[in-house]
Amino acid sequence: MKQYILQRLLAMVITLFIILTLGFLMIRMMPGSIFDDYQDLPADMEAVLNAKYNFDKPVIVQYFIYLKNILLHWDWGISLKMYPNKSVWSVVRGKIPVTLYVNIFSLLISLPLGMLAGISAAIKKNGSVDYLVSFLVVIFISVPSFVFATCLQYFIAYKAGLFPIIYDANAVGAAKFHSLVLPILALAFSPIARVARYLRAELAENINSEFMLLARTKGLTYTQATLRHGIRNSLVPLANIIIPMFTTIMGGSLVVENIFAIPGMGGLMIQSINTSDHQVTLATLMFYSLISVLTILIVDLSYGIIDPRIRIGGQQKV
Amino acid sequence: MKKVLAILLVSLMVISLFAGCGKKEVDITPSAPPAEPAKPAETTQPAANTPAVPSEPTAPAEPEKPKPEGEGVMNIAATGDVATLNPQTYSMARDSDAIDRLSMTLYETVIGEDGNFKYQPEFAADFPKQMDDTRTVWQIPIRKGLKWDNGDEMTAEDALYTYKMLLDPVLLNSRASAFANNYIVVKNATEYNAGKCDWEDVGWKMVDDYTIELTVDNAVTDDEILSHFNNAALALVNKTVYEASLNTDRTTCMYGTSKDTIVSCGPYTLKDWIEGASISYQKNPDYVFADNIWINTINERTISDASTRLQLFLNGELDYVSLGDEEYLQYKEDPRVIESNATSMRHISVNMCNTEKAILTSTNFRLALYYGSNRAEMASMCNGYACWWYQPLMVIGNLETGECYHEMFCEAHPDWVPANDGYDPEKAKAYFEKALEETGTTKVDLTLLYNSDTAMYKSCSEYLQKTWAELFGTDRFHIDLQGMSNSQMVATKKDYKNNVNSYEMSWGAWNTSKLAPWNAYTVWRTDYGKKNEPLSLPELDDLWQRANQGEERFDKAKRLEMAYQMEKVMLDNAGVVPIIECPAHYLKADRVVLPTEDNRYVVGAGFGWNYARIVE
Repeated sequence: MKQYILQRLLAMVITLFIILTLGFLMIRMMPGSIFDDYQDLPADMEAVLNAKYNFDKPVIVQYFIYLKNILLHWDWGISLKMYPNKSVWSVVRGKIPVTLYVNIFSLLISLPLGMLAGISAAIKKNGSVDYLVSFLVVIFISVPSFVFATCLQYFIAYKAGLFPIIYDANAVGAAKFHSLVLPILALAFSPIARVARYLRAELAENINSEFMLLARTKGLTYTQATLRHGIRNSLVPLANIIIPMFTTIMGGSLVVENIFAIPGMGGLMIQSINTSDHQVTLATLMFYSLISVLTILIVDLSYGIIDPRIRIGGQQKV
Repeated sequence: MKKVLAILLVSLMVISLFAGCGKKEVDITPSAPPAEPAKPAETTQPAANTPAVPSEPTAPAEPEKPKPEGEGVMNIAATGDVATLNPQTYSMARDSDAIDRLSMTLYETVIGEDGNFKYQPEFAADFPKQMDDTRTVWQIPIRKGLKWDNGDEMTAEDALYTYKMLLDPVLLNSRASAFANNYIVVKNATEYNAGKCDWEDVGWKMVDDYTIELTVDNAVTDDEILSHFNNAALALVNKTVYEASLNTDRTTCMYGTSKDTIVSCGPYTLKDWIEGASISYQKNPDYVFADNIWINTINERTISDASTRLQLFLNGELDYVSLGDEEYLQYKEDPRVIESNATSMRHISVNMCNTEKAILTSTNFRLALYYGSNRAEMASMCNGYACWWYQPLMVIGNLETGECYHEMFCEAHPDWVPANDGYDPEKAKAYFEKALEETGTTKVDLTLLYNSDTAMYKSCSEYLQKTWAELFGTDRFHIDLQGMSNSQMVATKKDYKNNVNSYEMSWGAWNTSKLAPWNAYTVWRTDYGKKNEPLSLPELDDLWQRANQGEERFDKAKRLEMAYQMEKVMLDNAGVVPIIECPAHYLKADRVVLPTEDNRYVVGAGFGWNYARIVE
């Protein structure tokens, strides 16, 4: 198992390295200079600035300098456009907590709500509850999170006045959570639907399985059999979809953060691309890549734990 | 295993909840409720910096003055985060707005008593004094008794230190050229910045604690000095904090990157700054013109989404909000709508050096596009103005009278003014035929780049794609449209320096000087450092040189005439095809009263939000 974990970690590092390399090269090879939109900057001055930040060197040299600074000093460079002179790491570090806060909360509330809906639908299969859940599942999966965000903002915050229209950065504690309820909900709808759909299908199948029949013949009531055997068996495969859902939520938060004025990684990434602040773009790219590969790693490891037959390489000594 | 998972999930949920509660304590003390507005007939206001004392009811009506602490809170929104408050490194317009609030320049532009823009000495005590006949040596007196927000006294040394650090050859601040070479060329400033001479050689000396002497390369006018030193990049920095913000090898300065690394001296002081979320300003009672500041607090939140901003405005949480094209149509008739002039002319740049498409090198073809563009139609589509000219309507031609440059041009040369906003289909077709014949082309197939971030560019591009093809013949003319982000589009255009065929046609807009039209043509010069397109017109280069650096410019009438000539050169070449100007629209809450009676946008000074007052 240790070897398996080490192999997966190594694969993760290699993946990140490839992403960083490709990202760096692609961004550096795009036409134009980072100082292009500095009005009235004389050519001599631009040349001096390029030299200061090593932009005058060949791309491959720039790449090795960049890599060396990260590996030896954890120096991700300096933001030149968005936050002039600030280190990229300090900029990114300040944005990560609120993004993780919103996204993790969305994931956490989606699990119990999704499970509740899925179990209700499976137990009342082909009943009104099942039809209602199925209908909502279709809506929640097919409508993007930013549409929900806009609707929630308009109807719940603006019209009903139940929540703040935007995130309140000055608030702390419960007030802060209060201002984040709507973005969390907007991001949670899709995962709720996915969990509900998955659990409904699993549980509906398990309810009709032979072990459930056996449980009933042993004297358990329908509820007891469902709770003790049906649901427990349905939850095991659910573990495998929970972690990848986090990546989906993170994708949705790119836009939802903008709608609710949350100063997180989503806005940072979009702005850095629009302003050609390449160092910041690369750092945000690596953040999202890290989340993705971590997600994959956790899924791989959990597969390994749930099903020992699944191992990297897969060969077994005969 | 399942129990462990369940426990883990519950624990995470609880930890996340506490993580939110455990955030560093932030001052959330609510601002004092806005005081009742003073009633002019009943009270007179005390002088600045003295406590408010009610006067006798029968006191003669004196001009109303704000209280030292100001009155009311104005809530506003910015589309993006304030990136830095360091005037020497900023790159965004919103940063310069913030710097204007927090710091001072030698001269500033404000709305005068007559409702028009005027220059006013801010850190300077008076206008520049010419010291010799060559017009190259000037002295600028500095105000006495001013203080930084931290209590430090302000002297000429502050200006000297600010500009020295701006030009520092090690720091290499991106805004250095704003001091070295803009409206005027400060002696040896560029050389010092490049490390080629000592600071003592630069034409910027302290005569005494309250006088500075400026030496420039060529003769200049006082107007040019005022324009030069009215630039957010030249705002003062506090020496103590600036020095403390430098790293050990003095290659990087963190001045203005957080609340702790800036000291204010402008109309407002920095009250609070949460990076990426909000920034708050408070009236500075020690500001030299504190008597003109009515508002106590300005709270600015960063909200990039337009519909969110509008909802906040409608909910009474913002005092003004900018309107997009669609929103403007919805609120067009609303009396709260105010309009500011367009800051730029939106045009189509034709790559006249493209070697793969010979048709682009033909002046006849470019004139065909010029006369074949129905600007009025596009203007009505985009709530803008049909624009056949090269300097936006907001540009002032006469600083004394505030007269519009464009109107002066039309009056001076009515024969150069094209009819029907420059739309003449017959003329366009004739030019097109000539161009085909001249270049031996049978079919024109081109690509037009547009900024996909803005709806206006897309709709106008599609309109031109359709109408040009109908005008010139669908079998002989076709353009493809390619949308991209603005930064990518600009980079693609600028790449003509490496690859002359980097683009064929592209949208563009230049934001240039609003107070010196003769200078604003600089962006079309052959050797302009930040050129976007390979436009090269020797006649324009010569005119620009004479109008901005030659002796003739001291004759204002001649200088204006040279500006008109530059406009004509651009019209005749049509390497850039002007299309429309798009004014900006805002919804303003009734509780905010602007300095001008008719809520007018004043060129050079804006709406004057900093000088507004709040009435409940």
